[in-house]
Amino acid sequence: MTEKAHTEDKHDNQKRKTLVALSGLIGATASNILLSGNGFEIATAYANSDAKSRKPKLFTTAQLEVLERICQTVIPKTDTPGAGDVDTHGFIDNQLHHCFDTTAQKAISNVIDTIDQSALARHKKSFSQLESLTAHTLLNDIDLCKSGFKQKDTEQFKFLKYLIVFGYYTSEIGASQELTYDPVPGGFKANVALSDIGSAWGSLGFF
Amino acid sequence: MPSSYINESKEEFDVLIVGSGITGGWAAKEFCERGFKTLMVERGRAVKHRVDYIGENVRPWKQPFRQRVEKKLVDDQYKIQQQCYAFNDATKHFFGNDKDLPYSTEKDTKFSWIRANQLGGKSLLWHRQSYRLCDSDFKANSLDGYGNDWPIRYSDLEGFYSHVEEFAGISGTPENLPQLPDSKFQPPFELMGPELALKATLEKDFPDQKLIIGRAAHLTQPTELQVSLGRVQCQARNECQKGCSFGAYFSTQSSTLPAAAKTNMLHIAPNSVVHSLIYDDKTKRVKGVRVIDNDDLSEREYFAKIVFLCASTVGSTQILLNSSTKEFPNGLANSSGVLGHYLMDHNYNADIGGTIEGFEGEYFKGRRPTGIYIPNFHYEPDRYHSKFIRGYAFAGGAYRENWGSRASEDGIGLDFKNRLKQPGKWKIRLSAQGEMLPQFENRMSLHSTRKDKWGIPLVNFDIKWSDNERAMMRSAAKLGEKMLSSLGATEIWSNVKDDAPGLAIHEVGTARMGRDPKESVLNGFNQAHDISNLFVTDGASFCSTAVQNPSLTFMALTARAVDYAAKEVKAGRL
Ligand SMILES: Cc1cc2nc3c(=O)[nH]c(=O)nc-3n(C[C@H](O)[C@H](O)[C@H](O)COP(=O)(O)OP(=O)(O)OC[C@H]3O[C@@H](n4cnc5c(N)ncnc54)[C@H](O)[C@@H]3O)c2cc1C
Repeated sequence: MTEKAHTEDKHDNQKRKTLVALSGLIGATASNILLSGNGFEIATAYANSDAKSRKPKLFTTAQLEVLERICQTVIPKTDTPGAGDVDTHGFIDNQLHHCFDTTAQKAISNVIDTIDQSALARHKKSFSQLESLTAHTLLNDIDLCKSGFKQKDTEQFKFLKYLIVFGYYTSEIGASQELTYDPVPGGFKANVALSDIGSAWGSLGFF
Repeated sequence: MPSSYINESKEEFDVLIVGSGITGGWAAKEFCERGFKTLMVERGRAVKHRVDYIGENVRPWKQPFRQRVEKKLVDDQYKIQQQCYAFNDATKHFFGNDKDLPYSTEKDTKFSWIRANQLGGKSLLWHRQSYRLCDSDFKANSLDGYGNDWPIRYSDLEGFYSHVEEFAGISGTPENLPQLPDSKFQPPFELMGPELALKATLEKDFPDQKLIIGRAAHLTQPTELQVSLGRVQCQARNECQKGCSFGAYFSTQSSTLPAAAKTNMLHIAPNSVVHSLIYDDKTKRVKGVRVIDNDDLSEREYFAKIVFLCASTVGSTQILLNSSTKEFPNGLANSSGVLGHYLMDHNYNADIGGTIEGFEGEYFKGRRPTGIYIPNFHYEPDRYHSKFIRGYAFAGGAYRENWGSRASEDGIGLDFKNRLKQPGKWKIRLSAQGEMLPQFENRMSLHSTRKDKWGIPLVNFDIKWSDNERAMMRSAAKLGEKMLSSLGATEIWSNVKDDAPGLAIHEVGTARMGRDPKESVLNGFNQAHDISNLFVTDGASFCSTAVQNPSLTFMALTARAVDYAAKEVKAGRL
């Protein structure tokens, strides 16, 4: 069986299971009608295949390396992967290229350089070569606008942080492993104990 | 699906409906079910239920820009449409394309015209909020003197409201409020903790401000008929604007179209841009429509005994204005001269918010497709505010902050990640939804020189908020803050914006109803005073905006107009 056929088969199986479960709820006729629809599409696994081989669109390879380290420092690995692990840096490069103007692109390019230069000045190493703790301290300084960082640096960094956060929590891992993703809730329940859900929803705000 | 799509036809249909959105869908269903051979003429492409919901259920990580739209595309084609909150990468194909559909605005004025030009129209994109108008809404113009008196009263529409509600499916709670008559309801969505707390606060300290769950056209307990049309209960995804394969919210595709198609009386002509109406000055009747093909720009005509314009407020009036004849030099059926005038929208320009403590252990499951609603409390002259006339409602809801709004918080690393893993503070938000006064000066017309690619003159808008609307928004912001402070909210803020008219997407007026043919285009049955076989049943017929979201009333007016027309035909008068 080819890889594609295999996933499609799995996909159909999943779809059938969902339908069986649903027909109890809404009746067989209605659930059959829905077979033709997109409501049950179960997204096949996200192939993060060519992350390494992809050419950056905006940044130099060196910048992208620094950015990867920034991503991983802002959202590190815990029992789930960190932002660098899920190619948030590649996402940012792509997103900035397609969805933002040159001012925004420059701001991010700038702040990557600012961070790297400050690593060089402080530690004589590229930011991507720093020890975790040292990297953390440096980003903490720019985040809080202290130890020589200027207001403008912090503003640019906050914008970068927004992109990292956006990229991470809309990635499959961020949305569905770190947070809880519920594509078809089946109904709305107010006043549920937070402990029953366990984390914030990763499936909000996509209307 | 539809009985048949047609292209060329010399046949004379019983009825021709221009537009396939909320009103066109209703007109088609009601006529088909009465045995009328019906042609629905739609300028846009056919959108098939389920099959063409290409954005539905695609996970954000499967979307190239994670739901954002490519900048170049926005700049080139969606400059106006992107102002709409529902515009994103998974819905953009249901919005009109600003490049192909330009319009102009008078100097120093602005208007944001949000469009959905395809089979289904804006019924695919709407937010499903559904409220009846009340008797004082129909009397307002006559009582305070703005605009003309509505030729109908609540009692004229009451039965038709029930009729459309039972079919569409409206969730909500009966409240027995004079300013917001109850609909025929399916079970309501639940209120969340902070919303219940606000409700209790209002009951104690603000007797006029009543908090209810937003009434929405979502199935929560489908009827047999609804299930037989392929509709099932709402799954609380709240991704409705991408299209819903469950058919859980009312749209042309989920509801009126399958019902009409079942009769075998429905014919649809997609990709048919109506240029103008064909008028016969001997019989004083319209005979049909002139159409330009959406794609290849070729011309054709369609014919019918009766024409219903359901092309949306601006769309219908544009067609009338572009159908001048010797007898009607300023637009067809415009002997009154008011065609194009009294354009209105709702004013949504005040927002209020705050933080609520004490509910940290509570959360919710599912994504509720509606919010909370505080109906108009200035609904009759005795209850008007001293600084402005007419009134407004609040819509809003409680939510917990998530990563979206917390990214700029200080912090990085483990601590930051762990913080974002949990939901943030509970917030509550209210937005005012204000009435706009009917004013002759606010109007749309046809541009004297510029035309679109189909050769149709561009619509030119000339509309401004008045001081009344601005005073209302300032007052709403203040009252909203007071209510939240009474609740004990913290970090309370309010903001009065200056968004252009149009963005509430509740444009109404421009071919208003009235008793007097000298000051109105349509009579109380949405029938043109000047031309008996011509009806306009969309928002163009409105005499005032009232406060409520208008589409439920569009549906009821349409059903009533069809009922009337069918009876007139039977009586041999039409
Ligand atoms: C994001 C959003 C949220 C909304 N929320 C709500 C809400 O919560 N509650 C509410 O009551 N309303 C809401 N609305 C408004 C609601 O969608 C409209 O009031 C309603 O759809 C109007 O119905 P209609 O039939 O008049 O027009 P439409 O639904 O716009 O349909 C008009 C149709 O006519 C076609 N047409 C236009 N011109 C021509 C022509 N020359 N030839 C042929 N065909 C033509 C169009 O292509 C379109 O298909 C919302 C709208 C949007 C976009």
